[in-house]
This record gives sequence, structure tokens and C-alpha cells, in this order.
Amino acid sequence: MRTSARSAVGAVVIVVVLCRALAAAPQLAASSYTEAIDLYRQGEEELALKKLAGLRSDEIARGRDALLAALASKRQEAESERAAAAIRGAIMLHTAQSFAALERNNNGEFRFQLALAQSYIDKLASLDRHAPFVRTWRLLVLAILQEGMSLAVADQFARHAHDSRGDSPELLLALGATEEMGWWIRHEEDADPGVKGDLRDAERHYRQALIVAPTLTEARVRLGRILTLREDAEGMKILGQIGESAEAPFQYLARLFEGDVYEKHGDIAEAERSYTAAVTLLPAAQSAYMALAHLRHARGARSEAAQDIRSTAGARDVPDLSDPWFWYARGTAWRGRGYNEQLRLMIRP
Amino acid sequence: MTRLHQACAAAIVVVGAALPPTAQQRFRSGTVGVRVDVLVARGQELVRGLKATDFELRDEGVLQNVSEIEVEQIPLNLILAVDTSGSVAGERMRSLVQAGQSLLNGLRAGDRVALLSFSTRVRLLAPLTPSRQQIDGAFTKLTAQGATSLRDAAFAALALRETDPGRTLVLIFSDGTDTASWLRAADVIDAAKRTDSVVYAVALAERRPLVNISGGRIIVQRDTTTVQEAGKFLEHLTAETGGRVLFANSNRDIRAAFTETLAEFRERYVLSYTPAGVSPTGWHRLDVKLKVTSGKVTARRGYFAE
Repeated sequence: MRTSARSAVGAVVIVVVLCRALAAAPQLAASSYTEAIDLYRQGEEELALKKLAGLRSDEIARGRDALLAALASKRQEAESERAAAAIRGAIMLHTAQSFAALERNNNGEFRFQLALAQSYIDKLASLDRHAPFVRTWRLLVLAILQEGMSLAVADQFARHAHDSRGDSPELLLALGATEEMGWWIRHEEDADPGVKGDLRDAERHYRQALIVAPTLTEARVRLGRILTLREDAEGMKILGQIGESAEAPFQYLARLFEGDVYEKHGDIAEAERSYTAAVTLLPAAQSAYMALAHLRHARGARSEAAQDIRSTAGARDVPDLSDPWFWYARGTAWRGRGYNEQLRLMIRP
Repeated sequence: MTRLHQACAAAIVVVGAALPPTAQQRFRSGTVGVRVDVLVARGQELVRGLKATDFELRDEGVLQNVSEIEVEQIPLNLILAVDTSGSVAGERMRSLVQAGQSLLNGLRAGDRVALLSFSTRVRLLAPLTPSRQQIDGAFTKLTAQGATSLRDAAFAALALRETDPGRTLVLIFSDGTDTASWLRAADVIDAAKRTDSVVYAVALAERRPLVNISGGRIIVQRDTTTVQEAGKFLEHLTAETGGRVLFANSNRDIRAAFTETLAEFRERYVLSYTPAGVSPTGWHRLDVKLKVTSGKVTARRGYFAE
């Protein structure tokens, strides 16, 4: 009897749950919110953003609640997985909307959209902290924040993402870069970056990154650079190891940083050699030309300096973003595009 | 003295056959001297009609025998460096182009202009040229996007000035802080000390959000005016060369600020002297005062003799 009663109750529960699931599924598919998400997942990003922009906040909130409820479904694994996929799409949709809003200086929208993405990510992280999507999304947001020089946010965001049981080398790189950028802005640009900017912390993060991933050349270049900024002789040794086997942008940066050290120490001939080597490696990049022109101007070679300026500033059809220094100064921003592509692949239906 | 003559910095300008006869007469004939651009103002008004004898100039504390060169006799090199970063797009760019074109109307025969733009890169759109048409054409092609390499552009403008008898006015327009330069502020200030260019700047306020995280939530705390940070560098740079920063409150003010800069530059006095009783090398601190007349004197803080 008890068994039959239990079965009956169980059957009722199953029916109720099924009914709810069946009712919930068409709701998710039919709402404008999920339509926007689906469009984004299919690569129709502009349409998706336009559709999202047309939704009221209460419509978004209802859609989010429905997705989270579906994700929590323990009995319907398929539904839960569908919800998780939709949530990943929603995260990317809100992230795109958030940073588009920041570019337009629409602060309220930026805050609202990123908070939505963050609430979803926290939910996914509570299920699997090391999920590739969660990890990559955090790296993407850090890259974008570093590109916009929003270091205070980047710093706190990175702390939130930090895992005491061990971080990925990419996150360690981002953590170190935030400190390094903060130091540079505070010490060389006489401005308040909103973070401490501790080169010792940066060093710790870069060294940890290299322990986990010894072939991560970017961490090696950054470690060399910050050690030279601290006037630690090991810095030049590390930069000197960035040779022909490294990609050209890393070689360029290493020569540029070496030149900077030589110049500081008054070794003008070596500085000129290093800057010239950088110019030869990537003639379209501007920073080494500027360094070389400044060095020559300071030693009285005005015509040469003017010629350097004419060469670099007068060059036609050079893309704006061809200088590794521009990207270096923005931490991990240059990795943002790669992270974005990975995430977009992960959300494809 | 010969060593000084042979190896002086750009602040010490060769003034010989290239100068018009009137100016040469005011110099000791065929000599090399230091030239100092001086502005005198009383309150908001410029003080005009002064003679070399009204000034007291000390080089490293040593009183010098100064002459005055008539400004009208010296051709002008105007090196314009304009910010074309993303924040300048739209109405601001239109105002900037109009201001630039209006500035060209104020130039005289013999004057030369160069146009540099700066955003993520510094671009030389036109080298020093007497052709207004060339500069006008370059202005119409300006587009705004990208970051702000203000310090690199300021240095490029200073470095483009080569040894010629003209007076060089570097005019920098910017609406934000530097976000892309390789050179540090100190590098550019150092370069400014090694030239005789006078740097003026027109800075326009730009408001940006200050974002932060509180309780795990991203919040926008308030707006902050970034021009103050850019202003620090520009004020230092202009003061070092005897120029100044004009702060524009709106796009409409850019044109007036440009025009005022050129008019003010033309009202400056150019003093010259052959250094006496001072070291032939190194940094020379300059002090320029009025002997009797009241007024605020603005001049470069010194020069390098190398």
C-alpha cells in the first residue's frame, strides 16, 4: 500500500515536473530574451544586441529566472544542459552589451549588463569552477578591462577569479600585468591607477606562471622588464634570452626594454644598437623609432632625430595597432580577441 | 667662447646671413647668440612697446647684455600636433578642423606649417611647408579613432624643428590623458629644454566614468575629468619653454584658443645675447625680469649648451 501510495505520489510528482518542464521549455524558446540569446549563439550578434536592447529589465529578469530554474533541474539532465548552453550564450550577449555600453559612456547600462553576466558566471562556477567557459570568460573580461585601463576593476575582478588552489598561467599573467600597469601609471605617468601597482607581486605572478608554463614567452618578457624597472641585474639576463626563437613582437619588446636600460645607465652606443635592432625587427612599429629619435636628439644629432620622426610618423598605410608596445602597455588585452573567439565557439548551437 | 659657439644647443641659434638685415643689425654682426622668446602681461593684457633696455636677463645669475630682435622680421614655423583619438570624433573634430583652418588664415608670407596628428600612432600629415593648400587638404582628411599618444607627439613636434632662423611655435591640441606613448614625461621635458621652440597647448576637458567594484558588483562611482592629468604634463612642458596651456571648456572654444595662441605668439619679444661669464656647456638657468615697468614675464626656464 505504502508502495502504491508512494508510486502514485511519485507519478504525480513526475507528471507535475514534466508538465512544468514542458511548460517551461516552450516559454524559454518563445521569449524574446531567449530569442536574443539564440541569435547571439548563431553569430547574428548585431541582431541579438538590438533585440536585447529592446527588452525591458523585468523581461530580462524573468528570462534569467527561467534559465536558472531550468539549470537547477535535477531530473531533466537534457533540459539542464540546454539551459547551461543558453546561459553561456546569455553571458556572452550581456558581456558584449556591457562593453558596448561602456564605449558609449552609458554607465548604467554597462553596470547592469555586466552584473547580469557576472551573476550567471557565478552560478556556472558554483557547479564547476574550472569549466573552460568560466575560466576563459574571466580572462576575456580582464583583457577588456586592461585594454580600457580600468585597473581598479581589473584588480578586484582578478581577485574574485583567483583560485587559492592554483591559477592558470594566463590568469597569473593577467594578475601580474595589472600590478605592472598600475606601477607604470603611478610611477611614470604621475597618475593614480586605483591599484597598488606592486612590482614584487607582479614578479611573483610571472614566476608562478613560468613554473606552470615554462614556454610562456610573454611571462618571461614581462618578468625581465619588471626586474629591469627594479634595477635587478637578472632582468637584462632574462631579456637577453629572448632571441630568434621567440616571435618577432617579443624580440622587439626585449630589444626595446634593453635599450631603455642602457640609456638609463648612460650607455648610449648600446642603447642605440638595441633600439636599432628593434626598429629592424618591426619597422612599422613606432615606439622603438621614438626611443631612437629621443636618444639621438639628446646627444645633439638633431637631423637624425628629425629623420627618424619623419620615417615613422610619415609612413603611410601603417595599421594603428602594429606596435607591440601598445599592446604590452595594455596587459593581456591583445589576448582578448583569442579568448572571445574561443568563447564564441563554445556557445555555438 | 669658440667652443660654445660651435657646440651649442638648439636654444642657441645660428643667426647669420639667413636673418633679414634689420634683425642682424640688432645682433652683434655675424655672431652666434642665445635667443629667448619672452611674453609680458599685466593682468589679462599683453604689454606692448617694450625695448631690450626694459629687460634684465640673467644667464646662470650673470647679467647679460641683451638686444631685441623685431619679431616681424623672423619667419614663423608653426608645428601643429592635434589629438585625433576616438574621443575627438564628431562635433569636436569638426570644431578642430575649423579652428585649424582659421589658424592658417592668420599666417603670413614666409611662414611655414607642419601638421602632426596623434591617436594610437603619431602621423606626420604634412612636413613644414609654406603651402596653406597642403595643410588645408591634410586637415580635411583627419579622422578620429584610437588611443592618445600625447607625449610621443609632443616630442615628435619638438624634434621636427631643425636649425633654421625661424621662430618655432609648437601648438598641441588634446582632450585627454596619454594612453599610448613610449616616451615618459621626463623624456619630453628634457627634449623641450634642448630646443628653442615655444610650446603652447589647448586642452579640452573630457569626462569619463570611474568604475569600481563594491560587494562583488561593478559600480560607476562618479565622473572624473581627465584633462587635469593631461594638463599636468602640458603645463610642465609649456612652462619649460615659456608657453602656456589654454583650457577650452567646449568645442566652440577651440577656435578662439587657437587664434589667441597665434596672436599672443606674435606679440612676444625676442631677446638675444651672446653669453658672457658663464660655462660653455650644460644647463643654463635663465631669469628674465622687467627693470622698471610692472608686468609678468614668461620665458623659457633655461637652455642646454652642449
